[in-house]
Amino acid sequence: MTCDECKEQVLELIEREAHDAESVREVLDRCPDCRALFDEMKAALALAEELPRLEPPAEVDAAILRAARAREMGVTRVRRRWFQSPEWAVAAVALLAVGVGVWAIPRGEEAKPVAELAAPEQDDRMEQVEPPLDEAEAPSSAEVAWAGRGGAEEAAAPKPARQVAAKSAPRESRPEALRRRSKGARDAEPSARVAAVPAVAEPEALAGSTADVAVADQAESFPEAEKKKEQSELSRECARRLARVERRRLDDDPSGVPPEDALAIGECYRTAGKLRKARLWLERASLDEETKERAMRALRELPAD
Amino acid sequence: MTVPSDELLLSAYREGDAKAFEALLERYRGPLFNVVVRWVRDRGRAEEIYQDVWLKVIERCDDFRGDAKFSTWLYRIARNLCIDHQRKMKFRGHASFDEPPRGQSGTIGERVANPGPTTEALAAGRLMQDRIAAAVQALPDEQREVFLLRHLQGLAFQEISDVVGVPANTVKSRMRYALERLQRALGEWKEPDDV
Repeated sequence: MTCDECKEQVLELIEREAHDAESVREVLDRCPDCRALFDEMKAALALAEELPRLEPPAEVDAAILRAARAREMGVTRVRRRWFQSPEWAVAAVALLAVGVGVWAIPRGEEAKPVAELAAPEQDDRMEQVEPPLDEAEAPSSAEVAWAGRGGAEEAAAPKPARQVAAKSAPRESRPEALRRRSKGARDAEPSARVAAVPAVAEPEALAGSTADVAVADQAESFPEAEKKKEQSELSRECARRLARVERRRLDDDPSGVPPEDALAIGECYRTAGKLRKARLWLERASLDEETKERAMRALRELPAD
Repeated sequence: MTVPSDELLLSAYREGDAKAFEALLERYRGPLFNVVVRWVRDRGRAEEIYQDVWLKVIERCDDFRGDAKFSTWLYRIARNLCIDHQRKMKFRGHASFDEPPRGQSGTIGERVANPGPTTEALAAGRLMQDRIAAAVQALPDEQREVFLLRHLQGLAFQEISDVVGVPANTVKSRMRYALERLQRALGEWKEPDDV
């Protein structure tokens, strides 16, 4: 064994994990450098024995044991009522949502009568009035509507209004509308005028559709605003509860926090994504019989940190 | 009477035996807490992390498949939480213990960990312990974790390699460097005392 190999194994020898202890000892006997390294390591390990050992606080251990027991109770309950577990509930709701979604999507045939409803008006106008060219050119809202479609289509609800508008405006009219921008181009292409005729009805229909989309967007933004307001209300409520609890804790024992308050604060923290605090408060709420079940449920639903 | 293995205890706890969990906690509470304290160098924060480690064990015990030893799994959780903590501290702009502040020599860890002997410490004969603790605190992270896992928990080099995620030979090298550093640091301290 060489000195390098010996140095590699010195630590293992001290720690009694050496593969070839005899060979290492032989090298140690004849090489003062290796022996010095061996002594140095041994001395360092002996010194390290003096490293003071610290104890975790008893109350932390008690909290851990409480959490362990709480989980044990949760396991029993889940086993007894496995079919009521949140995972199953979520899966069932998701399935239902997908089913309703699929059912609600209008098929080509279903949507056709709606398109036909809009079509006669267009035909009437085509027959009765041949609009002046300026008028035909005026409705840039058609283009606006077309231009806006890309963004507007991303919004999800309420789809039927947008679908009606989309159906009432034939897709081929988009290039036509774009072509109408240039009068010279239209004059140069006689067929463009024929194509421009339905465009009289089209702007109205499309103007209607833009209005619908705008209303739809408003309708979409309303729940959003409500949701934001609700969230801010929720956090205000949280702040109120927390402040109340903290005020009381100044005088009283922390265990005197009303369990409903603890539960609500835990829920609030969970909503805010502060999982550690949520867990602490929910665990506190789980100690009371009244709030235990709800707190345990919330604890189980908490995502991992 | 044979002592049940950690894995057996965890399995019993999964089946609903809270006493088995108590036994596991009793086995690992001391070493785990010491490793975490020495890692994060802040007792208050260490208590939080220590609690979080056990809460994760409780939460995820169903995920433990027994591919590794329980101790490996436990210390891997602890290590991840400690690393997360350090990242957060860095992100929040806390001064690093391992890097000297601008314009100063010596790391904060060294300066804070070595405040000089107090009368009480001397009277209680704790001076050497304090110095060793300070020397351990001053070790680079990768050497310190290996040293702590080996020294406080007595994990085998291969187990430490599984926890830390580096080859066993690298673990051994780090341990060797750690011991050399400790010996040097404590030797330097020893000289003025002897004078």
